[in-house]
Amino acid sequence: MLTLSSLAVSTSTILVLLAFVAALSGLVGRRRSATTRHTAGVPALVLASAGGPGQQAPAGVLDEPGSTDATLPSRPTTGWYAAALAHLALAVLTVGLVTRAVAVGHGPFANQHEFAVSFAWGLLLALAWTRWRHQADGLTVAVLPLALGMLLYAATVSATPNPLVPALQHNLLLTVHVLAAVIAYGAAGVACAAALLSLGRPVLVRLGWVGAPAPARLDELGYRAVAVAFPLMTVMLILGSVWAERAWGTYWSWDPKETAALLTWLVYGGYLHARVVRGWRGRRAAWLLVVGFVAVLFTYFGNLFLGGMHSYA
Amino acid sequence: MTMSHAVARSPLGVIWRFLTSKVTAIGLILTLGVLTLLGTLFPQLPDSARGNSMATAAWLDGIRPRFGDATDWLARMQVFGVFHSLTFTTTAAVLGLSTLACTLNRTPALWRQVARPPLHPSGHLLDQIHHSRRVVVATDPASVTASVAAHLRGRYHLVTTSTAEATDLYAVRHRFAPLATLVAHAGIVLVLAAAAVTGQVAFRDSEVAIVVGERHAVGHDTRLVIEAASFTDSYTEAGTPLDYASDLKLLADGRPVARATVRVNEPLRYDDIAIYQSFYGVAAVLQVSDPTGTTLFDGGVPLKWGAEDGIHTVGLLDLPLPGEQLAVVSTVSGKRDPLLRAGQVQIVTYRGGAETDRRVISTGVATDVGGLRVTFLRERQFTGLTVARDPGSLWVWWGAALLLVGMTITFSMRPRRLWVRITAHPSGSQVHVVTPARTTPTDADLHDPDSATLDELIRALTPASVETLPDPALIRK
Ligand code: HEM
Repeated sequence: MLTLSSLAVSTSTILVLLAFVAALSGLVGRRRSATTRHTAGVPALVLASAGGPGQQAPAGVLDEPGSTDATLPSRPTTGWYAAALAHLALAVLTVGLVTRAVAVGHGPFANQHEFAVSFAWGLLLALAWTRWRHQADGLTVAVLPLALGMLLYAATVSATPNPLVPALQHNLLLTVHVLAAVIAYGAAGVACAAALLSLGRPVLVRLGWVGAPAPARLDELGYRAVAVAFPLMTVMLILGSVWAERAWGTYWSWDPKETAALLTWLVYGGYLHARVVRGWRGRRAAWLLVVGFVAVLFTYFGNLFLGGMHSYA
Repeated sequence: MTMSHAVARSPLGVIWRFLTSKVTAIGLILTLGVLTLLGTLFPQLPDSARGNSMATAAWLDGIRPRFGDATDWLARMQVFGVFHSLTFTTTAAVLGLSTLACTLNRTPALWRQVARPPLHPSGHLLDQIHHSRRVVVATDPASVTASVAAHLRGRYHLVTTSTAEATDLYAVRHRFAPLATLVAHAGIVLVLAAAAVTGQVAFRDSEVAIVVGERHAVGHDTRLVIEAASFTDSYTEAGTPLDYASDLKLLADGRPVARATVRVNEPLRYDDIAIYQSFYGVAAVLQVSDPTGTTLFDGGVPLKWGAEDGIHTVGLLDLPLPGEQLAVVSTVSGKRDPLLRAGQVQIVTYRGGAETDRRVISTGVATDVGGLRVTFLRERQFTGLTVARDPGSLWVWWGAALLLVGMTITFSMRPRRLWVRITAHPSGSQVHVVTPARTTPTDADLHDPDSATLDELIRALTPASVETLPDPALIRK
């Protein structure tokens, strides 16, 4: 079982690498045919000049929920291959995590190796979700290196399963607490990817990236990823306190990892207020997303140098 | 909330404006973030040493090599105790007040928006409107109104108003969802308030060591006594602990009131007191008497302190004589000290804090140490517990639940609004639909439920349509 699991993890690492190469090669010279995409801007004008949708819509579809989604290009592009490979990597990694959980008898979140693999899984999941929900192909190229980095890091630390120390022996709480963290951090990674693309866009465009998503769109994608990440971080913090209260007798003990997670949460709280209440957009908001993800990494790697009660992970 | 000029300029008005300012909120949240960052970057004085000047000084000496001459300055700046510093608690308190003020401040406007929605898009709403469609339909206004209403009914809450020239439909979904941010912010206020209460009335004794078979009074006006009936532990082959548990009896005024096996993650709760398994170790069972033969102590001394050399464990005993103390030193199991063999402990006696004598004694041999007669009978396990009362914690959970529920609704159930104006037209009726868009026009392929509904509605009307008109200036009222 463990062998199967590590085989799946390595396969997935290679798939992510291939996906990244495909995404990179798609960066330059990818041409999107204007006619294959829903034209942005003023739909009503377009519809009117095309004779209106009434003339074209077959009577049968009139009561169906409408879809204004972009139609796929007729031939798969490198971007499509990148996404397909990333999805495959997600599926294989899921197998890897499930088999490992079965083999070790608890959620695969008990040591640094397992958590790094789970983090990569969270990133790939958030990427898949963003693509599915928002057809956001352009983000793939920025999310994949994050996932790849996690998987490569996982390969360098010991994968030997540890027995759970008594404090961790509360399976349901442990699983939900860490699952929320993993997905939240994955979504935070996607938000950071959107921000990085938005900040680096002028350079990328000058280098010849044709299909670069518009800054406003990257901004919106970043916000929507945080709208997923922030409530999940809240779940993580609350379940963490519930658990601390049961295990250590206090819901909050300023343990370094706990504190770093609070810091991360505060950064995203600041971002949400800056954006929603103060109307921050563009570069300033993007920088906050980058800072937020640095805080995520700090929280995650923190137990390597911070010590404290989470230091078993 | 509008304020008269006089109120706005009064000190209270200034405070209120400060607390409700959106810049304040972001500033406070980020300040708390920076303080929290300091607290993770610098080591923090452990709880056990707080308020104990000797322990604090010893701890500071331990970190002095890292921070050098700056140590004392950093300590004065409270960098090693960020979370208990005045700056931190004040920031958190002002954040709580600000959140409360914001919540109160926004309630009337949010309530108006929900209870008396703008039936015609106007004012600032128009700034947000990006999506607008017009079609001319070959049926009369009354039947168009009926079919539009039929299309939206069930999913949307509808309000219809008619004038001589036009019929206006206001359709809204998740119309109460805007109130959810009030719930979320109230949750934060509750969490912060409960945490503040905890600091005032709660207690938490994290180093209660009870030798198996003995009793310990909880204190703090509780009349409770804990008895450690037994203790069990198990290990992996590598020697890391797998499980440890204590069988505890709780007595109130001498009567047993609760009994449970307590392990990590499974505390014993009685009234508002909770008892947690925390640590464990070995105790030395001693008999101590004075030169006249009067017994001063007969029981176990938990060796709960680890010595800095990593080889010895130490237990301290206060004797019922003024200023007299006794320390018991033993070796950690698995470690060796040639001067302290198996079955031996070292006894050190103190008077007024100064050492008076020290002697290694063997099991069962009554020995004179510092004018006392001490017999080491045997070793026995002790269980280490944390005993806490925290009436604030219940409110923390309520606050957390409100925060989570409010936030989930805020993020997943955005209110969706649609305005439809139906007017007579030479060919039948003209239908104009607008919705405030969440996305900018360049995000047209980002999923936007409002514009999707609008398209859907227009498509439902189009079988009867004669023409789709270019996007006009928005209807204003
Ligand atoms: C740690 C403290 C706080 C947290 C976690 C928090 C959380 C939130 C969340 C999750 C949202 C929704 C954001 C969105 O819709 O995307 C929000 C909105 C908002 N918050 Fe806070 N908040 C906090 C403190 C404050 C304070 C102190 C103020 C007052 C100055 C404030 C004022 C607002 C306003 C005006 C909105 C947007 C309006 C609305 O959606 O009703 N918040 N907050």
